[in-house]
Amino acid sequence: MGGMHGFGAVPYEKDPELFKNDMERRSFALTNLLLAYVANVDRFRHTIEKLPIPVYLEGYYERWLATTEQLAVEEGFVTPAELTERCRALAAKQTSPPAAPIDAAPARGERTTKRDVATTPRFAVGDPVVTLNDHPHGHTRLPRYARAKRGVVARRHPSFVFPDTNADGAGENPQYLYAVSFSGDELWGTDAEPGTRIQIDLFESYLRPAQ
Amino acid sequence: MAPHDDQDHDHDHDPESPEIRSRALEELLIEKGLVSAEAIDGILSRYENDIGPMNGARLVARAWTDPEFKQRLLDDGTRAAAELELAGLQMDCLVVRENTPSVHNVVCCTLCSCYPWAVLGLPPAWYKDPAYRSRIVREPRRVLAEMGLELDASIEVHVWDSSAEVRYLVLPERPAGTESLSEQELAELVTRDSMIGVARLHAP
Repeated sequence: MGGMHGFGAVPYEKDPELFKNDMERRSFALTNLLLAYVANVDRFRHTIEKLPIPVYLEGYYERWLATTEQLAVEEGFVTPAELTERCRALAAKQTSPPAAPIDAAPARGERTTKRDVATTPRFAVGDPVVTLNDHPHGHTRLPRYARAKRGVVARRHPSFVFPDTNADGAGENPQYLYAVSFSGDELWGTDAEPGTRIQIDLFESYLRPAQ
Repeated sequence: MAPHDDQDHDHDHDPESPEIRSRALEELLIEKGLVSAEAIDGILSRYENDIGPMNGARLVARAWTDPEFKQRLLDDGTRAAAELELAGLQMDCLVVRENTPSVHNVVCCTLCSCYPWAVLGLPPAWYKDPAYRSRIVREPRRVLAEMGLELDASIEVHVWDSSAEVRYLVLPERPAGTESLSEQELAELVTRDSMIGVARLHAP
């Protein structure tokens, strides 16, 4: 969403509540507990991104809830019919017979995304780089506002699972990650605020050496 | 779960409301043995009580009073945080950025809401809001001024977009006039907003 217009003032509060209501608590807890099985946070993020935009904009924990429902169905933990029926019963204040326990608990996945790679890093701190101008339909962590832009490698991070392929089950494809620094005017043009730099964490395959 | 309050009264009749849907999902997942009520209460209790900005504040206060720890914190935030037994979800790789008289750092996640849970707890709603996500990279000085932080033109603003699994924490400048305070008293001065970078600290 970087650089999008029209969202107005930041709804800043100095001391916000952690959760506004019980829906948010349940959404937070169930998402985290379900991710222990699904484990793939890239798949989770991509599923959120694929929500219809009006659903996406309903609210933060609302989209977690929609995504967790989706993943629970994809994994076969619940069926859409079970969810619909239970919602109907709750709204009508009827009790339901409990669902049967599943036969075997699914395996729990590894949550850390750091991976060793056999290759040496392609870039070093201080290297000028340019970002790709690809606009994939699938998941990517190269923000739209930073495509085909020139920056400088500010920091080399460890190597991690590559979200773009991991999100859709196309493999972990781990690679080095870099904090790349861009000047405000490189990203935004002549009316960028002076004296600003934006650092974005970018995977090696998003970058090419710049002249 | 706690009984609903009056605000949820209307939602209780709508089978498509998030309130009802969240209850349905919770009941089904518990009945099927995939999650337990204890696990739900446990994770909520941890984030409501134990995990929050007071953790990051301890790191900051230690860095202010112990120059060698500060260097370790800046070199490898994850390892230094582990010295204070701070580790966990969303903390595979912590990088700490130091504010100086000439550079002010501020953190965001334009793509979703990435945030260093283990040292700051859960992000405030405004951090996850489309307005912050879209505007902080585009016009940071203006957004910070709207949030109450005016920065002199001589100070460079560095915005860190947490677009991958690295998590960022700002090490705020120690306010003048705090030389006599203990490490514990210093930790009590450090706010969540100063460690995100949308506020600065002042002596009490």
